[in-house]
Amino acid sequence: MDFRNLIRASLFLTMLFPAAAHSAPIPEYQLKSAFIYNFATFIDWPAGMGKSLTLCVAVPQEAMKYFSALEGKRVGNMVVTVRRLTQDDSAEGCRILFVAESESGSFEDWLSEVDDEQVLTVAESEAWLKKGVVIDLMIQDKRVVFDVNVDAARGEGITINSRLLRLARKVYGLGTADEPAEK
Amino acid sequence: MGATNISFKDAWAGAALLVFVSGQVLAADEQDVTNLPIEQLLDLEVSTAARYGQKQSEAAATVSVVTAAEIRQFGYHTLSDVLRSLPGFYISNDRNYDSVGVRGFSRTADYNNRVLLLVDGYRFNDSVYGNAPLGQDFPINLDLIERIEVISGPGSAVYGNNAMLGVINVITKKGGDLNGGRLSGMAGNLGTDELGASYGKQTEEGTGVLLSASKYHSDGADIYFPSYGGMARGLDYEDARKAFAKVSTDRLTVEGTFGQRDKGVPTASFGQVFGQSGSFTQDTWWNTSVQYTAPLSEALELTSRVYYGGYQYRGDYINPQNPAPSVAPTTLNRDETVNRSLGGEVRLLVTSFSDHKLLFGADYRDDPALNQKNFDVAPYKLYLDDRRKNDTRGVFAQDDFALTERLSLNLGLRHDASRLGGSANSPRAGVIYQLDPNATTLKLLYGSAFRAPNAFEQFYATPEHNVTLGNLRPETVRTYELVVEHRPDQRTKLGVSAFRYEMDNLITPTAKFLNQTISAANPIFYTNLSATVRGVEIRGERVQDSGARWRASYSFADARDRLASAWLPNSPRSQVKINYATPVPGRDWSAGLETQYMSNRQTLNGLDTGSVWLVNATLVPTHLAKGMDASFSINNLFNRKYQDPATLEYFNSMNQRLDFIPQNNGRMLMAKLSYSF
Repeated sequence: MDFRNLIRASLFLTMLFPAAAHSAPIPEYQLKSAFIYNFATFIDWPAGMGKSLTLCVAVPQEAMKYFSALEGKRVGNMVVTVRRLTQDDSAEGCRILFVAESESGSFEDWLSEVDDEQVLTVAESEAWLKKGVVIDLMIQDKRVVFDVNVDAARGEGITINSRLLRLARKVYGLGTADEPAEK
Repeated sequence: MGATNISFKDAWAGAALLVFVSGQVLAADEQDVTNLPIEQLLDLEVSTAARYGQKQSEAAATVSVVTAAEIRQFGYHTLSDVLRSLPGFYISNDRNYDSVGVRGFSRTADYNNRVLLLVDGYRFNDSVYGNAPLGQDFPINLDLIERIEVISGPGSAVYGNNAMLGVINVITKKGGDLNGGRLSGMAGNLGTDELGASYGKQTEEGTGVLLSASKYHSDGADIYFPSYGGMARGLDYEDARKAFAKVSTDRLTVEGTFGQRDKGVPTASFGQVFGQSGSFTQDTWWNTSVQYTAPLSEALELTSRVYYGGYQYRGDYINPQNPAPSVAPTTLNRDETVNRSLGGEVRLLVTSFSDHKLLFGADYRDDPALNQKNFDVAPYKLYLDDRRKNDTRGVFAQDDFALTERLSLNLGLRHDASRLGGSANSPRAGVIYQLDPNATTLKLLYGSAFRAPNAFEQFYATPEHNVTLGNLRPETVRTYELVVEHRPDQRTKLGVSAFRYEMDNLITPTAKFLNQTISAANPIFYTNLSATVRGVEIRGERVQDSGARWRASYSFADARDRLASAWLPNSPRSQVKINYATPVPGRDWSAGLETQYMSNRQTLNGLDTGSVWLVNATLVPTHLAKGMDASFSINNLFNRKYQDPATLEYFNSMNQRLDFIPQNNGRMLMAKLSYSF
């Protein structure tokens, strides 16, 4: 009986793999995870950071799977490690910090924890960009767009490839203090 | 083929069909967009879910999270170390096992069967005792733990059996978290040492592998027992061997665990001859599990798990020669327990309805072996050879329903049935109101939970009992809790809870049954207790500009036997916990300081244990040399001696009772070095 149950259980497991189908719109956080992975490749990370690039994300539980999928991907010669942050976690050791608006209750704590580090911070609203977050991911006309705060990037001590800046919807802090600069 | 087998088949077939159909209808979008260039990403259309997620402040329970960073900062070695730092939790130790108490309720030596221990989501408690190992008997080294989530309060509405007082979910690390090899060595006083080796790696495709093994030894303390009038020397030793392996991709996780612990028994419990070597217990745990998580669609996620595992217990007892001493002065008596379990579960998370988050689940556990045996080794004499099988099924549904922006409801119901343990329904309900969405949350929670009588309680009866065992029913708890959470600023979090627990049919050991005195060495179990616990818990957390973190709590609990209106044994009324961890300025080091106060408790016979204040300090210097990290801890800094209440079974062959178990280890120094490569 023991063994039969095992077979049933394995049969059951194999049935869980649904037939792949295709639908046009991409789930929000799946797309945003792809953006964040791309951002990572556009940063000139300082040498001597070790072998792993820690991506910390505070997103709803249901969206976590998309970020977990980035685990093990390469950025230069570093391997991405994904860490989920919830309210009480520490952001120490994070190199990329993405905080969804719905999970932003502890964002300021996390920002202060990584204050001295070179960290790429990513948020979902303009308000955070003005508080010193480097990139803002938003949805406009059913597309994901992003703004960059280069002053904040400079403050963090990270260098963003100009190709990424060209693709941004707005770039804050080039010359003017608050107004978006022309691309 | 029996009826239970058919229902098992039907349940699984039904669940599988449901999942298969929904999988086909709402098949996942499998396109991997992460490899697309950013220019292309900008052109992709996005779909947004109606309502996503749940902030922790909206959760219908009090959850504490302890991360790997905190485990390191405070130098924790066991789950007990972690738990005793949390609001309302306390640990008693009988020099054999650690027992957890929550909010003023603890029946020492219940083998923690009133909390549910999960490892990466699967049920860890065994089925003979409901044992949740929290000391060195827990088979996973704490270095391998990513986080520990602890729910205070009943969890049966989702998790079923055992989740009476709390749920402890241990989440282990993945290969990528180590990213290389690590060797570590630890040494401390009382002849304590530990050696460990781990290796973790993650491939580019995201497949992670983690392998680890460690070995622990402690000579233990020499203990003076006043009521025995003697010293137990060299009998408190502990040896543990642990191994862990895990292979994971983003969806599939396969892991295996093995642990074995030998613990010397210095207390002459169960009527043994005091001061003799040779009495020890051995707990062996092994487990394999496979977990698969599939996003069926954006709003539908399915998690399924199967596990197969075993628990084995051996206890060697040095009994007096029976009849009166002849050739040898003592007899070696042995307990042998074997439990094997095969289990599986499915969880379906549905977020496709706006304002609702639905969770459905079904699980099944088959225990093909629940065997208990007791015998004298030489000359061989068999007292008990009880072999049972059991199977348990559970189904549940839960809904988080946002009525308005500020008001939400949490409703859940679970039904469990088991062949040997009876059936139970566990409802729960919560109302969560955001008084001020950014600062203040009000929660009103109702919960219920149960614990089915286990095989040990039902069937461990040797002829000397001379009774037919009582027909045990599941014990139950109903809880009412009012919680106010407040965040005066982004760095500070405060919470106050007032709670009332009503516990009924509590299964407790008794040495008297129907006016018949039974050997206290083998008490029988009987539902003879109803209890009410009322209390208040105050929690606070704060992060400072320097990165230092405070965590503090005060809890008060008044736990009473409802009929006798008497204060329950082993129930501290007040507890204070303060944890402080700070980076060391100018260095990549950290320091942790914690203090725990527990007010006096009562023993079974109404004696007073006195109160205890403990202080532990840890310094964690990192990067001492390339790849070299260290950790130095002083546990019990002020060298306090204290005592825990002993249970019914603590008396020796001369019928001298122990009321207290001395905790006289004193100040413990631990140094740990690790080398990563």
